[in-house]
Amino acid sequence: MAPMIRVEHLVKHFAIAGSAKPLQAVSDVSFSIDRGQTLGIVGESGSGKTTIGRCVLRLIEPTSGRILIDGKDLLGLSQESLRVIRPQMQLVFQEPFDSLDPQMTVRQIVAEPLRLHAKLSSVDRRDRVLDLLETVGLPRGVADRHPHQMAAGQQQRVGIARAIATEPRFVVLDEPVSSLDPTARAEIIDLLIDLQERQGITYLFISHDLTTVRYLCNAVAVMYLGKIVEMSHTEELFERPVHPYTRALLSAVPEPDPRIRRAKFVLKGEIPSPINLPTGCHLHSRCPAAEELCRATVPELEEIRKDHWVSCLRARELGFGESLGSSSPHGATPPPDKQSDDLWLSEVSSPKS
Amino acid sequence: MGVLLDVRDLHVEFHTSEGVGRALNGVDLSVSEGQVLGIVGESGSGKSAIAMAMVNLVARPGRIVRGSVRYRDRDLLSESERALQQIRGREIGLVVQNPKSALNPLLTIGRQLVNVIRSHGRLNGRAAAEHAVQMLRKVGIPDPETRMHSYPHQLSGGMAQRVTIAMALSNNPRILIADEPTSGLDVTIQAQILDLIQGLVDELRSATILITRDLGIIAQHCQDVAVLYAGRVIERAPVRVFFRRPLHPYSETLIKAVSTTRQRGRKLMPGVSPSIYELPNGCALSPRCPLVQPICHELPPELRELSPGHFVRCHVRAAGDV
Repeated sequence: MAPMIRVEHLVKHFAIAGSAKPLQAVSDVSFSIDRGQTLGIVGESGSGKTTIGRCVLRLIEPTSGRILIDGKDLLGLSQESLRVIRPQMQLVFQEPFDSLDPQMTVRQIVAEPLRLHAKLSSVDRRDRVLDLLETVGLPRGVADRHPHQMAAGQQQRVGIARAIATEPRFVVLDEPVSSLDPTARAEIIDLLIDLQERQGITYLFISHDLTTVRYLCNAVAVMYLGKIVEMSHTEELFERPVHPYTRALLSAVPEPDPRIRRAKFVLKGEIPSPINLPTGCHLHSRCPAAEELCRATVPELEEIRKDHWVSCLRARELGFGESLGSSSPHGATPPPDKQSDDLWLSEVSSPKS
Repeated sequence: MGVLLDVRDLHVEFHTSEGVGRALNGVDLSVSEGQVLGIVGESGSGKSAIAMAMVNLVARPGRIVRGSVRYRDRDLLSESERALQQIRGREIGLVVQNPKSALNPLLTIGRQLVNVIRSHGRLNGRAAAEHAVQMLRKVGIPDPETRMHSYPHQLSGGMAQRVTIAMALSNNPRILIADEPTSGLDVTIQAQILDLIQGLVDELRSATILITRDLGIIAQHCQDVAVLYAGRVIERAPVRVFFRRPLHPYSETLIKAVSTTRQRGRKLMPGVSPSIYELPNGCALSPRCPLVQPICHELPPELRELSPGHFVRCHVRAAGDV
C-alpha cells in the first residue's frame, strides 16, 4: 500500500527584501508517512519545520520537489482539484487563541468547515457539531461560548474539532501543545492519540519538544537549518542517536526525573542564519566533533542501519549513542577512542543531595 | 546554612473590573545560602506574582495585602522605595521571563550594565566598564568589548537573556530570583542558560529561586521544590523525595503529565485550575480532585509536615489515608 504522504526532494526558498540571496528554509527534504502513523519533525527555530508543514498542505508553493498525497501529485493539481482534496488534509495551529476567530462562537467555528465542504442540512450540521465537541472531550455547553471564555487547553480542543470536522485522512499538527501547561499538554496529546486510533488519521507532528515527540510519534526526523540530519523509528532515534546535533538536542532536554543525569553534549554558539548558510555540513561551526573535512564537504543522508538515516560525514566513527532513557547516570557515553577528547564532555554532574 | 529569604503568609490581590482576583493566598517559603529552590506551577497559579512580591514590585492593579518578606533582619514589604532600590540589584538579582522587556531599548547594553554596577556604588568609571565586560564574558557573550556597544534589538533572545543574567549577577547578589528564565528559548540555548545560572550560583553561593512550569528543570536544577496551585504552596519537599513519592493529588497528576513512556489510559485529573476571581471554598482543588471528601469543600487544608521536610496541604493525605 502506498504511503499516505510521500515528500521527495522538497526545496523552499523565500526571497528577502534587500538581500540578493534567498532565505533557504528547506533544502532537499524527503520522507514518507504510512497510513495511520505519526512522523515527528523536530528542530529549533529556523530549522524549516513549519515551512515543511505549510508546503505539504500546499498552503505555500514549494520552490521544487514532489509531494504525493495518497499517490496523487499534490503540486500538479489545479485549484479546482485542490479544493476537492482539501477537506482530507487539515492543520492544527500552535496558538489556539490566535487561530480561532474571536467574534465567532465555538459552534460557528466548528461548523465552518462543514458549511464549506459538507452537504448537510442545518439540523444535521448542528448535530454533527455537538458530536464533534463530544469527540474532543468538550461539554455541549461550550457551543455558545467565545474562545476568550475558555482555557487554552479547551481552545485547542476547539481547534482540533474544527480540523477533524471534514474527516481528514492527513493532519499537520504544528506545535499544537507548545503554548499549553503540562497537564493540558498531556490531555491534548492523549486526545490526538485517541483520535488516531479511532479514525486512522495520519499525522505530521511538528515540534521542538522532544518529550512530546517521543510520546506521540512512530518515527522522528530531526532537522537543522533546512535539512533532515537524522531520521528513524522513535525508539531507535532516542535510544541510539548518532548525529551530533541529535545527541545535543537529547542531552539538552531536562529529564523530569532527578535520578537521571545525562552526559552533557554541548553545541557552541547559536544557529547560523538560513540566508548565509555555512559551507559543507551546516553544523560544522558548532559541532564538537567537526573536522576539516566537515567544512568543505556536504554530507548526504545515508542509511547506516535499517531504517536509520544519518547525514554526518563522521557517522560511522562516532557510532551510536547509548541508551538515553535509562536510569544509568551516563547518557551519551563517549566511544572508547574518544575518551580523552575534550569534545565529548562525558562529565556527569553529581546528583544533588 | 542560614535562611536568607523568608516569606510568610503572603497575599496578593488584583482589583479589576472583574472583581477581586486573589493571586496569592498565604504563601510561606524560605531559601538558604547556596540552595536552589524551584517553584513549579501552571498558568494562574500565582508564580509570577510571587517573583514580583518577593522584591516588592507588584504593579497595579495588583497589591500585596498581607504577609512579610524577610531578608536577613529587614522586612522588604515595609522598607522605603529608596531602601528597596539599594537592595534590589545589589542584594537580590531578578531575571524575568522576557529579557527584551527587561532591557531599555534606547541604551546600549554596555551602558545599562555599567549603570547597574555604578548605581550600587562599588565601582566607578573605568573599573565599572571593565567589570561590565567581564560579566558579559562570564555569561558567554562572544567578543564582549564590541557587544558593549550593541542595542537590545541587535541581540537574539538567548543573548538578551545572558545580558539580563549578567545584570542580575553583576553585584554578586546574595539571592537570585529567576522567573521562567528560559521560556521561549530553544532547548539547546535553554541548556546553556540553565548551566550558566547553575555555575554562577555555585560560585557565588547565592540562594536561588527558580520559577518554572517545567518539571524537568525542577528535577535537574533544583534541590527543593514548592508546588503552587491557586496561589498557595500545596506541597514542598526535597526534589528527590518529591519525584519518588509525590503526596498531593495535584502533584501526582503533574508528574504523570510529563511521563515520557506511553501508558495506555493514563488517568490525568480532569478539569482546569480555578479562576483567581472565583476560588472555590475549602481546598482549591476540591472541584476536580479524585480523593475529595466532604471536608475538602468546607475547610481549606493547612500545609502539614507529613515526613521530615515533606510538607503537604491536603486533608486526605494528612489523615494518613495514603
